[in-house]
Amino acid sequence: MRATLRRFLARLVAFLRPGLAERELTREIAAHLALIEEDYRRGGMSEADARRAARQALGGIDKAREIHRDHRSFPWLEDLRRDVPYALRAWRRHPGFTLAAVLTVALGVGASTAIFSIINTILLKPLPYRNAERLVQIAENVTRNSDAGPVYSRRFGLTQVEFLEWRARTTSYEHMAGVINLMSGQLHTADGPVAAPRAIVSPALFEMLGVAAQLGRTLIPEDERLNADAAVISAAAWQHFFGSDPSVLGRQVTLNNTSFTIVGVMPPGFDYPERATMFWTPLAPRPGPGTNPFGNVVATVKADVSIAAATDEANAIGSGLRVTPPITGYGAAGGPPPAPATATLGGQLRDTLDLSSRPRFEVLHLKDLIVDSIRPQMRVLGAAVSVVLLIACANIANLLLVRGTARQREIGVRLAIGAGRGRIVRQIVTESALLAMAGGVGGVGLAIGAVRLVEILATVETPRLFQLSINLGSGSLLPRIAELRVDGSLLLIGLVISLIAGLVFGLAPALNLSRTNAARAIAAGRSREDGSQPGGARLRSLLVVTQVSLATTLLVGAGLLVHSFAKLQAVDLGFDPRNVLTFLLVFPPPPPPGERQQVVIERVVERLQSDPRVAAVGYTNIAPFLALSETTGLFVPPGFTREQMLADPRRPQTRIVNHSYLPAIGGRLLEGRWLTESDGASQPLVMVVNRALARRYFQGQSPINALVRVFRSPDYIEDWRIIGVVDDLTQARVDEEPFPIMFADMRQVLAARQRLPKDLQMGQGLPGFPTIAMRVRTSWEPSAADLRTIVREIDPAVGVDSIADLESLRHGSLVRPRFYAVLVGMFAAIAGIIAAVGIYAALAFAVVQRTHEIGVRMALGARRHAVLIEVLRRGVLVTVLGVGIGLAVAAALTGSLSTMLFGLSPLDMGTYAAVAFGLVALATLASYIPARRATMVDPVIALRCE
Amino acid sequence: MASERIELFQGTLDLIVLRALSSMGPLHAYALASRLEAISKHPFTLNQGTLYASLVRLDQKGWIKGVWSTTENNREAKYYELTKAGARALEKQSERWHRLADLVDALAPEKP
Repeated sequence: MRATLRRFLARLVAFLRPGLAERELTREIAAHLALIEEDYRRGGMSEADARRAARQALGGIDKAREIHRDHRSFPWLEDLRRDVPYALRAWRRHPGFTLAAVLTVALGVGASTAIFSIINTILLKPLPYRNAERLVQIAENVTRNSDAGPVYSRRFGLTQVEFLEWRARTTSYEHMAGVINLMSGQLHTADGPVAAPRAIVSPALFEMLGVAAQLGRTLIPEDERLNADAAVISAAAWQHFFGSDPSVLGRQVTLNNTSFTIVGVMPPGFDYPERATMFWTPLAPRPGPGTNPFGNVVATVKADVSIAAATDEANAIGSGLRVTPPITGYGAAGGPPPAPATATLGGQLRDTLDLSSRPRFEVLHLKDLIVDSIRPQMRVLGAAVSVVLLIACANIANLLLVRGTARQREIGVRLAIGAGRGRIVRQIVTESALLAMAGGVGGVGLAIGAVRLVEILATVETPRLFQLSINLGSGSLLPRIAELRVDGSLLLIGLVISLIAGLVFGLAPALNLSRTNAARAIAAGRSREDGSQPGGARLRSLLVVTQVSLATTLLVGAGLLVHSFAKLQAVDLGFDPRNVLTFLLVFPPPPPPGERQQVVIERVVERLQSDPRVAAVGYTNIAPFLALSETTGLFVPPGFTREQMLADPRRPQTRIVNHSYLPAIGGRLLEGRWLTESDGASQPLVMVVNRALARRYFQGQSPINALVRVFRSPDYIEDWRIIGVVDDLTQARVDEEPFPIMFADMRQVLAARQRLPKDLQMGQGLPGFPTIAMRVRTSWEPSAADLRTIVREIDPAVGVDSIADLESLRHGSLVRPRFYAVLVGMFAAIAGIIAAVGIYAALAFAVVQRTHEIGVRMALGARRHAVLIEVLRRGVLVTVLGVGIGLAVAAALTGSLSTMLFGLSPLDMGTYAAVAFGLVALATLASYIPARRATMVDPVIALRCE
Repeated sequence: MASERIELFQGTLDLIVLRALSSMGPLHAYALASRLEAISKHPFTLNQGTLYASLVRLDQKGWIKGVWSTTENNREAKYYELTKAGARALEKQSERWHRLADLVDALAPEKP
């Protein structure tokens, strides 16, 4: 053992200080030779003979040296020491080749490293909370019948009574916390109320997630009582509202009309339940009947309790608490004709789960709930980026093979003078490894940039309220993206990917070369013909075909996404979003009566109308792009019964507007007239309907003047007359089939409500979010402060929030399809270019190799044209083969994209044809350059090369 | 003849060198090679360079030590001698060698 260690150290010293041992060895060998020579001379040999014989006896000086070297040091390290500079020299001689190769590797490694780091962060890393793997939510699976068959959905959360009961009975959880995510959280400031997202949470949440305050304290169990007034604020709120003042603790704040005392500031990055959450206040469940379901329940399963056991318990407790069956059905009998089904991009957002085989209550991992929806898309990105990496590897392998073939002669000579094959393989592997390393370093650099790019692409800038329509809440398409760091794990991923890449592209050339037959290689080198193994050319063609087919598949996928996105961009909104600005009026809670709101709304509209910078202005209770459905009253058109309409899942929604709203946003009147100023409170009730409504319930007849009954209750009915039909306006999302909608004037809605029997007058305010929409003249870009000032002059208690222009809302609603189209499109473009370079390189090489042959043929009278066609044909043939395979693979795989496509089949012929045509054109171009060079061969020069 | 040439295992050559140095005292590489050639019953040809593999290995393990000195003909040469650790190692290695040889004999008795 000691001897082994000693030897290891001695070898290390010998490796690090080779000069010392080498001088000693030179001296020893010289002495050794002298001794042999002396012996031989004494035996009667001539001096020259003795010298030769001495060397022979020693077995060659160099051989002896090599033996010594191999044993005194680490031979592989010694080889490396010689191979690295050798490889570097070789590269310096071919800077173009080297640059192309390093760049190709860097692109492949960079893209994969970025995407796999993101996948690692989002899908693989545990959530940044204590016992993250044991955090769960309790869900109830609910089935509902619709005209398209059963619809499954998940319901989260318990009523307050259920929560208390559940918590008392459970034995599965360490902690259980209720979380109400308050959408309409407000903070009262000197400037009036401002939106301040708040979560009302069981104080146990903080202990459960294991996150401490950065200043002061979090909520504690003692805060779980009625009227507790402790509030914890986010780092962002601390900075934004309090200028990061450390004396903020103990300060009073008014949140939705209730006073709280700030007790702590959370660290930046604490993002439960949302990144936007600014305030946390205690939840104290109130026992007693009639309390509504509250948000979610989060719990930590005990370490020794399985999810299955917790699920069993949930079903026992849950079924006991909720006696009503989970199926709420619309009777399907006698319903209206079903709406045409459309495949839409939003598919993945909808509940496509089949829960029929699941238990009623399920205990689900919190992480899965956060990231499950993004899993399929991440898979698509991972696949796309792997294809890029594969193409890059195939390309490099091909370049190396080509170069290796050009080096056949050199290697043949080395083999002939006694180099071991292992030694040659090692040297070639060294070159590949260095290439992979250089590419890897560049790749990691690219990856860092790419990760930032992805973050930016995924950022959604529309106001938080509107993000709900694209199923977001955290300002980014990608959940958990804020946890993404450029750190060791990214570097590790980059390293592993480069290593794999190096192995993949380095092995084939190494094996191919080491099989070289020395004599043939030397002979071939002289006659300038392909001296590689017979399979060499075939292997190279195979690699090119592989590249082309992979690129084709990826390009088809990208083409579909881009095409789909273009279709989305081109969707007619039904209104003109240019220069239209919308903002919310925020009334301090509790919401004032509708009549008081109406006064403020009307005065704001008037004030803005009189502004010369405003072209038109209107009010609506639900802005475009806001995902909110609102049905007050049951709409029953002529010829339909109340029961039929109750059974209709697409029964009309209501929009409360003022008369100028639809013209202001540029709605198109198809029939009849708009609402007008004179359709006031005391006038007959009238409404404008959209085209979807007219089509669904009037089957091609004109609905104008039709009298519609609106049921406020089974026995209280209002009659409304349809006076106009407006073209469909985009609602929450561009890709959605428009819902039937009726537009009614705010004054008439309020007046009708006044006439309702007292017991039916539910709710005082106006439903929805009061929104002002105004078309400004291009010279004016009002700031938030401008708008606040205008509104404050009318009513100082009313605030302004969620200011957005419709153009950017439209933009924001398309952020998801744009994200995937841009990313996959970029990958596909890279793949296509690399494949084209691959074709070019392979052909260029073939032409150089066949210079002699082409020269002979031309000397014998072959036409330049014929030579050109022949080379071109070879490139195009390989491409067509690759494209064919790629298209077939794409047809088989793109089905998985169907939920990401809008108005497009995954087998869209146009896209397939465009990709095939584009790639063949690109390949022809890439083949043309070497083909043309072939025709430039001067027979005389080609033959003289001999 | 190539067919009669004995391929020596690393460890075997090391053992032979240790033995030679132990029985004959300090030797230089040439003397060592000559002795090996002279005493072997079978005429095995040894590229003398091959010896260096053994010498450097044993030297690095600290079992032999090389010292520059002069021969009887007043030529310089590097003499190798056994160290104490080398002597101990030789004992151990010999024992192992014998055990191994016995085992081989027992399993495959020489043909009569």
